Amino acid sequence: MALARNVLLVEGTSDSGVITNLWKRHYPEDQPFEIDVRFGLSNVREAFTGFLVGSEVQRLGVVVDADESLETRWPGFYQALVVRGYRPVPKKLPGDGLVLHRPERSVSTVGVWVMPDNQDPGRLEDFVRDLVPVGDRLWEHAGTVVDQIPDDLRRFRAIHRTKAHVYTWLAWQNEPGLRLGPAVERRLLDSDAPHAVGFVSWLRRLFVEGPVTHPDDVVGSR
Amino acid sequence: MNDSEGLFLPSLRVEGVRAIRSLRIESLGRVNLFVGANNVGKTSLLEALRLYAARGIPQAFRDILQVRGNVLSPTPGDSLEEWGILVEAVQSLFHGGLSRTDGLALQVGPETGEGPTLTVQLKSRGTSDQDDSPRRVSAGFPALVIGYGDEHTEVGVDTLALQPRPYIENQVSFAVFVPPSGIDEGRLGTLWDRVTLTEWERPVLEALRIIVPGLRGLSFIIEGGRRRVPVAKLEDSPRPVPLRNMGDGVNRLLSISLAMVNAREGFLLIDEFENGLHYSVQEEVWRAIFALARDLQVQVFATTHSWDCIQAFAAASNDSAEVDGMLHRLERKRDDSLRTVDLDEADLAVITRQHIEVR
Repeated sequence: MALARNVLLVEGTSDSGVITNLWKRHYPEDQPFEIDVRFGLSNVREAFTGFLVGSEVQRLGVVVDADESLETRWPGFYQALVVRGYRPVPKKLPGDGLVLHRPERSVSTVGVWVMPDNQDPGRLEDFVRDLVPVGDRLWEHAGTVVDQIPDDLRRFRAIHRTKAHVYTWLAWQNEPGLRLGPAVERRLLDSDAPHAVGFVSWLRRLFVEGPVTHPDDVVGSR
Repeated sequence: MNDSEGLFLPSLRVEGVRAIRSLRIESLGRVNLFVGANNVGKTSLLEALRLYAARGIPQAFRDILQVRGNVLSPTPGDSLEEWGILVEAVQSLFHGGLSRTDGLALQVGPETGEGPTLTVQLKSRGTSDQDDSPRRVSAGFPALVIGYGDEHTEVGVDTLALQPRPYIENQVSFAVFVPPSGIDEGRLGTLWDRVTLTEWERPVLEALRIIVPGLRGLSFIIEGGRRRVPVAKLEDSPRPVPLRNMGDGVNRLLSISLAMVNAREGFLLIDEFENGLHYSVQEEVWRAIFALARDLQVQVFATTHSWDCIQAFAAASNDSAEVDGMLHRLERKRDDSLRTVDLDEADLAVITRQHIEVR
């Protein structure tokens, strides 16, 4: 029998870097899951369906960006789970992330986390913004500068304002242009911030802990 | 069974066959590929299907016991030891049959209401003499109680040792089984005789041309005074060339294609499909199987260990709109029963596009 795998599907390498380093700061021992970078939402979605229908994966998680809204992101995953017999699935994505234990299914534990916080629109960088130490003056200055860019020079869309802010701030550290993962590793980003702690505890529920009853969930039923 | 529609299982339930304590498959396609860990029960599943297709006639038990390497003496003596070996071989067909002898029973069929079911029970003592038992040892000897649909018969285990009746030579609509090592030459010759100079000869030659484009014709000739071996006429060779000199692939294809055309309106069962077939030809072989499965009304069941084979199957299945291909992944649960994860063509498209290895 092939060794059972635990897989976390993500959209890009930044997701992978942040998640690996957040986990490492909380649990320096081996990471109990492999991160599978699928490059883009549609590939993540297909891979999620693909892994659900049959593979040696035992625990399967997915991290995607909400982008414009959670309401457009969550239903696709809800649907995929229901079609594959995972029942019941909560209609509304729980604020602390979805973890379903279905021991009778081939993939016995599934999890979904929608960046930044399973509620608001946004993406990985909006999640990361909450890991910037409270009162960091460079952060505030970077924000001011980003907002002062004249309209005719601003090349990013308004929706990416936080992303521009995060990377501007990273550009001005003592090692300019660190990527997000190393920024967590070097503690520029606070892995004990509430959002980070919430995310790591979702990872733990998904990949480490046994079945627990979630308020929206009836363990063992189909 | 309606003969014009042939044998077709829309779903499957197997209880108590060899490694299978219990297995249910909600939905089967016309072409089915089974994957799963070693010893999960893939070969047992094919054996269950062989018994089912033959409606449990005694000869089917004999065929299966011989393939598993049990030597069945055609005329056992009266020594209890020889009979003991036979009884043990029969017991081994049942799940748990090697550790207990009472209450052994198996069942193969579709889900309730979707067609007849085959049931077989092993009784430690038969109730009466059987007409076809010249030895008259059946009474008091272990017996199989075989039920198919509403019909029940009792067969003394000793009758399994008799010389086979040549049912297989005269009938189709049974299962034709291709073992991992291929069909032996003697049996290949018989299968050839049943199609040569008929319309079914052409699909066999076409299948072989997947690997040997220059193939003109095929025959079987006597070699060494007794065995019949397959020989080919090639475009660029004046003399017949023995197939055995032409590589594993051609011989595997001959087994599969001859089995296919002989399985009309029945089952084609292939254990370890990929054996001998280079990955570059597997897709085309699957395409031929999908087309023939439709034309000949054959339901196909194959097993594999190979990811190449699954990909080839998925590609052929996706391109074959009229024929359902399904991939079934077998897994053993903690209570020792089996479950399957069943992938239809849409699922197959996803797993191949995303390179998700299902094995």
